[in-house]
Amino acid sequence: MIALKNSNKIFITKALAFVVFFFLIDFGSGILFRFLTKMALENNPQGMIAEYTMQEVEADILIIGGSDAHSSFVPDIIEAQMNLSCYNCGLDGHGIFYQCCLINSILQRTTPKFIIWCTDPRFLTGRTKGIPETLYRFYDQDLFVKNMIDKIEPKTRFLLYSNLYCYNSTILNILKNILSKTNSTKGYNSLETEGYLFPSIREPRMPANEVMDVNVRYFEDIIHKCNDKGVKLVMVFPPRYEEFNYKEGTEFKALEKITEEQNILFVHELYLAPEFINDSSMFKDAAHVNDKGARMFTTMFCERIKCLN
Amino acid sequence: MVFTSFNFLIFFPLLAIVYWLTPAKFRWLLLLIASYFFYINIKPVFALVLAGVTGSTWLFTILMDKTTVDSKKKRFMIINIILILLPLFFFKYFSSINDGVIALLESSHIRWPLPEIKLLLPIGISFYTFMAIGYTIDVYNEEIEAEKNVGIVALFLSFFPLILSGPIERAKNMLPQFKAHRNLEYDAVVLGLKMMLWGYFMKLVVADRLGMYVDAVYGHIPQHNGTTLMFASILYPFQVYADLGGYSLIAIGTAKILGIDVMQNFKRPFFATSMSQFWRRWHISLISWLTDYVYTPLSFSLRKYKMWGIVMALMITFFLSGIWHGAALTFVVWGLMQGVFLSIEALTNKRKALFEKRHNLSAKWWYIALGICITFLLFSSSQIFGRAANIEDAFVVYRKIFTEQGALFLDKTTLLYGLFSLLFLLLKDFLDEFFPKKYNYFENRNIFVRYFSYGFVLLLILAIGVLDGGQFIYFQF
Repeated sequence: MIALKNSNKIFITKALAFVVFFFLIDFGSGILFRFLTKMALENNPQGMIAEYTMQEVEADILIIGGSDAHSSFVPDIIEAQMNLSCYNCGLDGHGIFYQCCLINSILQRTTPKFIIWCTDPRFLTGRTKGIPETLYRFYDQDLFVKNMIDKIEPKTRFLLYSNLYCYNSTILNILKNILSKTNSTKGYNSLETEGYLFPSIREPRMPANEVMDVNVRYFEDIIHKCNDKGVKLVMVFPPRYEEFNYKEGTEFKALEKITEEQNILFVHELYLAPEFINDSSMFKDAAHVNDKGARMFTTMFCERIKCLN
Repeated sequence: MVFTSFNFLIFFPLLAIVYWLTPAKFRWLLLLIASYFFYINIKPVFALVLAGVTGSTWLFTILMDKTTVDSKKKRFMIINIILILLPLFFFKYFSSINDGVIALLESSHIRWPLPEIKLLLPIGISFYTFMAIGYTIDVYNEEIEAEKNVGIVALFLSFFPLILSGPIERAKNMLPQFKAHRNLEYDAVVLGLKMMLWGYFMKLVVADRLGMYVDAVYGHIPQHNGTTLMFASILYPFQVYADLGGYSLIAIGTAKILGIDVMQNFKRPFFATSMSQFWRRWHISLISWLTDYVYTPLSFSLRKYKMWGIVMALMITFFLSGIWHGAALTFVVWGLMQGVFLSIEALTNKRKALFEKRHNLSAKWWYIALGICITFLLFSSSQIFGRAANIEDAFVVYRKIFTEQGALFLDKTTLLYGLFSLLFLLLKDFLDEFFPKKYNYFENRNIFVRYFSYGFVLLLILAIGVLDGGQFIYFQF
């Protein structure tokens, strides 16, 4: 056995001093980041998408989804056609778990008339990444988020003892929104491009992805919450510039079955609509329509759901 | 379990405490148990392959040590090398060769009896196989005595900091250290922690951030233009450096905390002014292994061909280096490109030295900068073959770079974080390279500067690191 020599005692003392020093810096950084986030949210709410949509947004129609929702739905067109207020809550790169937390948080605050949930055939599959880091900042504020993180990524709770970690990768966005203010487009991200250069991606059948029970459970839970509050939920696939027979996939069939059982309108026929699939000028890339495509799609979509109003 | 996993953050500190509290004579046993636990945690069945390689190596090195007949000794060495290589060949190369044979025969309408076989590669197999071969050859050459204790041999091949991605260590360095009775040294522990911290920064902040951009581009080659592909190809060598270099630093630091010195694996490679210098700074443990066990014996046996013998030895050595990385044509081309670059340098070396001397170029900053840029461009151009999924993709990348210019694909947030952290890494390397010991941060005498440096790097990891447990690039090899 080793005896604690002087050098070891010094080491332990210094290590402890460093741990204390580090926790102080981490704690201080957390306070600073919270303050900066608040400043950014006040200066440019539309830029702080997660904070604004989780905590403040209010409208009759809310669009939920990832980058495809963000750039496919033009709220101004929806407002004009439906005569209801609308906000696009799409956040790039965020999948079902984030969207469930967002809808839950919205339903706790307010009762929109419609929630338009924009997604793709892989919605219920393991292709969707785990919990996005964006949700970490809401761990202490939102019980639904906390329970989800504890259940799906139990080890993350230990990392979240760090005050700074929950602001991972946010500093640039925070600074950008403190220093600049963007014109409100009600959450819509207009992709201004002339069109997409490349031929549409053709695959005989989309790669098989396993439907995840956990995705289904959270999806059904949100459906029940919407039903309880009398919110009309609409599922929709926005257009893609890739051709495959998505209807054969088990992922799609599972989603279709749930929407049928729960009596939810499921608009997927515009996904590979000829107006889009034969016209590359509507796209920014294979997965996103540009502004021209978004305007056309939003108009077509409104026609489709007017009957619900 | 990998270094970036949450489990490792629990496993390692606990192990380090128990290790230093354990009586010295039993520490090797604790390390052996911990190493197998670490490895089994990834996939238990892989440990059987490791145990098989260990058993064979131990048995045949003992037999070699006991015999005095040279031919018998040689036979034992060859049998052991074949036995060690069998699993590597089977898991790493069999599927590719089988697929190749199937494709070749099918083109002649002949049916090959073996169907396509997809085998999962036991992680770290390329690394511990080379370590076992090196040990076998060292015993044969009587540079080291065969280790009698099978546990020590097992520990050498399974030592957890090194097993997944090296450095590829030598028995003569490691075996005595496993048996030595060491005391806990404050300076060694602190140095190990500093290395780990910088290694985590390289991996989590630089490599994984750059990887997000490179993967997004290389994952969709048809959708990107030549400008974007060229930019991603320039970033990729930095990603690999930060990934494997970071891993190596964490491994070396981990071993250091346990009182074991492991060889350096990278030495500021992007400040090399020639390809030969570059390969003395990049993946040092692999190249020194290949130099000792392949290049040197080869160039000796080919010495009658003089300079062309060296060229042949270089080509064969780097061909093997390519094959070691993977059973794909891309890696073969990658290896041969290194061989060609080094051969050209070897053939022009004398004239270049004379030219530099005549014009007094060696000390001129612009000449050094030019050498650094050319070396980097040569290496990054070869890395296109290292990164592309197949040879067709690699040629598409080359074609697009030269023919399809356009707007750069900008993932602004990822790039800003990635480039900022890369700049930080290169600045440190630059200062270490050209102003050694002048600008010390981790080693500063002032405790506040030192603590601030540790804290700053830790904060960078937490604030902009990618902490989602991504894999290390070299795990696939």
